[in-house]
Amino acid sequence: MVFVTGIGTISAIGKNVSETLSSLLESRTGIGKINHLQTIHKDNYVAGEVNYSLQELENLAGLKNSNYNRTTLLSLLATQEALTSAGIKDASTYRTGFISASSVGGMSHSELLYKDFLEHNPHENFIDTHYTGAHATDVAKHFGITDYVTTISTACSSAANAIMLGARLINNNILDRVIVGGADALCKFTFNGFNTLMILDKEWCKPFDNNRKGLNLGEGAAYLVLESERVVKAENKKIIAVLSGYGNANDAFHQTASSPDGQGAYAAMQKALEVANFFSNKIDYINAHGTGTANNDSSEAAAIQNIFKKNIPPFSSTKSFTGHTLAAAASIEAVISILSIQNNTIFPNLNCVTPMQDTTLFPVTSLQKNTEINHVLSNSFGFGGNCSSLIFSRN
Amino acid sequence: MSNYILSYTKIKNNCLWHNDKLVSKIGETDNFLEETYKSLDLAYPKFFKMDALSKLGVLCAEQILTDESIRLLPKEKIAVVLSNKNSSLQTDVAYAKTMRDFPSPSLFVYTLPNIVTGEIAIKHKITGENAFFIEPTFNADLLHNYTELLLQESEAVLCGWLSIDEKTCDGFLYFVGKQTESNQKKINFIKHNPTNITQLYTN
Amino acid sequence: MENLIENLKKQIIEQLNLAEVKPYDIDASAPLFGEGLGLDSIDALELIVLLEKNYGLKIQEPKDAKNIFQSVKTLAEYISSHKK
Repeated sequence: MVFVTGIGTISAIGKNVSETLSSLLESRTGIGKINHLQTIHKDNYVAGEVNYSLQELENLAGLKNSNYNRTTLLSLLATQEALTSAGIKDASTYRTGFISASSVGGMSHSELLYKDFLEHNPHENFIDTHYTGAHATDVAKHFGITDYVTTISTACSSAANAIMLGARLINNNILDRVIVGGADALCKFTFNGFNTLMILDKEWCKPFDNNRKGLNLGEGAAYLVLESERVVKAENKKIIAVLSGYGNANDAFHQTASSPDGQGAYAAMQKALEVANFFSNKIDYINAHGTGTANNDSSEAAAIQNIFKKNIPPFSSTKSFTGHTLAAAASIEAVISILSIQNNTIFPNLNCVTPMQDTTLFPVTSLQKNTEINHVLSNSFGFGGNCSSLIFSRN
Repeated sequence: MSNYILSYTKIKNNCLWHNDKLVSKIGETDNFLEETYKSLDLAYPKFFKMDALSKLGVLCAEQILTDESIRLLPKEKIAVVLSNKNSSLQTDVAYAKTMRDFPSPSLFVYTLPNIVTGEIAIKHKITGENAFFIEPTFNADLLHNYTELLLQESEAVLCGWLSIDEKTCDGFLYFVGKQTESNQKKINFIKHNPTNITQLYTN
Repeated sequence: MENLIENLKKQIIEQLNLAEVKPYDIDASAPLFGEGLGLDSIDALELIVLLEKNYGLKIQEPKDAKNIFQSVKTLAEYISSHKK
């Protein structure tokens, strides 16, 4: 068994778990005007920005002149909260790992400093933090984690794969404790890229709505502390949730497009249910990938339909709150899935009004309190055909 | 039961090696990957649309995955685990240049390092688990460890390191699986362990 | 029109990296997507970039592209009727 004993997150809807929960309970989206990212698109689009400057993030982390980039600071803040919530003061007492995920790493920092770097002012330290894995090395070092440190980069499912790897390392008695999740900061690189793919909605995204126009980009980080049964017993730990299932498969269809019937998504959900060893009718809620693009939502709906047949559980995409936080999305949504269990509440899919023509599926569009939630399935699918599903359960 | 490295390929210094056999050697050229593609007669026009990292991966994977004993494995039971340090840096730079006037959608897509796993999966219809690790250097321990975990559920794993920049091209893929009736007659069973992986990579 | 079609064929080959295709291989009336050249959704986006870069024409809605990109001929017709 793999136990979740700590969670931490920062995103457009809050700098910690309690702020995140408040936003979710009040159906308050974090997607809005772009304030921090200096892009030519800032007045044309909305995004889920973490509403702090680089300096403010550094202050929040209690650091000075750290030279950490935005991705690293987001990662550090969420990790800090996860460790505190798990009551971990010293990361060296058990065999401990840090597995992170990122798609752009230090890109936003390079956009700020590289021109200067070439011309006159060397900013010595930043260039080494450009590479996608640098944030993980820095954060692990900051918290003294040395036994197992790596970074996964599989686009928008990255953090789910980090969580899966952590679970396997615990299940196989390779680690006792592992901090897993992901971080991505917004940058011009990503913004322009998604703009050329013509899948950005200029207004609030409308996942699973027939008139959906695309996604809103977001940024953030989230981490879970996973621990083995042995540690949980020895330390008399409070268990937040159990990671009961996980699965990953490749859609093998196209570099970016999902197959029309969501074969990879289907296989990932199927594997997760097999690992959890229970039937699909036990799932009380699905936190969908639900990006708001035409392709993802219809493909995901088809896959959900094929798994759950006539008993479709309530589902929603909380990307309507946070925006699509790319490599961090799966871990932010893992935290939201756990909050759903803790609060017996289904958080709504905002902005969805018109049912999709090609499916009978329709998401939960208003807050559902007092609904018993014991098992949550969370989907995350990435470009490159990488599809992941996780199942979180009440202990 | 032990797992074995059943097959491996390397691309380095304008040469493509499969196991210990030289498959293709290209003289001085600016376009080594495309010349190698032509020398192999692959007839896969999509190749030309890929970025260099994907081209490198597809060329390395081709030798391994078209081998008869491997071709017969169930495709949903083959996993793909790749790694490098610089992600898709070369393509990132090419894409960033287009950002100045007309950002290129196809270049942007390839700025994700795991697109190469997708390209290999698409070409060979592999639908098993896949991951891409970012590591400071070639990490045989990590790859070995993860592959062994995956082999609890998968039949075989295609693993390796794919790194490319303007000056150097470093591709190393190897295929880990179990001893079966169809492959047992083949020679060269190399035990799957970090020492052997490192040795094959550095040789 | 003939000139425009010939130029477009060359530009498409270059923009979409159709390395093994020659202009004379492309039938101006044949479908660009699905069969024919077998282009996909990313190619469609690259064609949108080509239109903007070479002809100053901006397509706002990906949906509009479908009719315009049916064949090299429909593309040429769109350019000649919209070019300022």
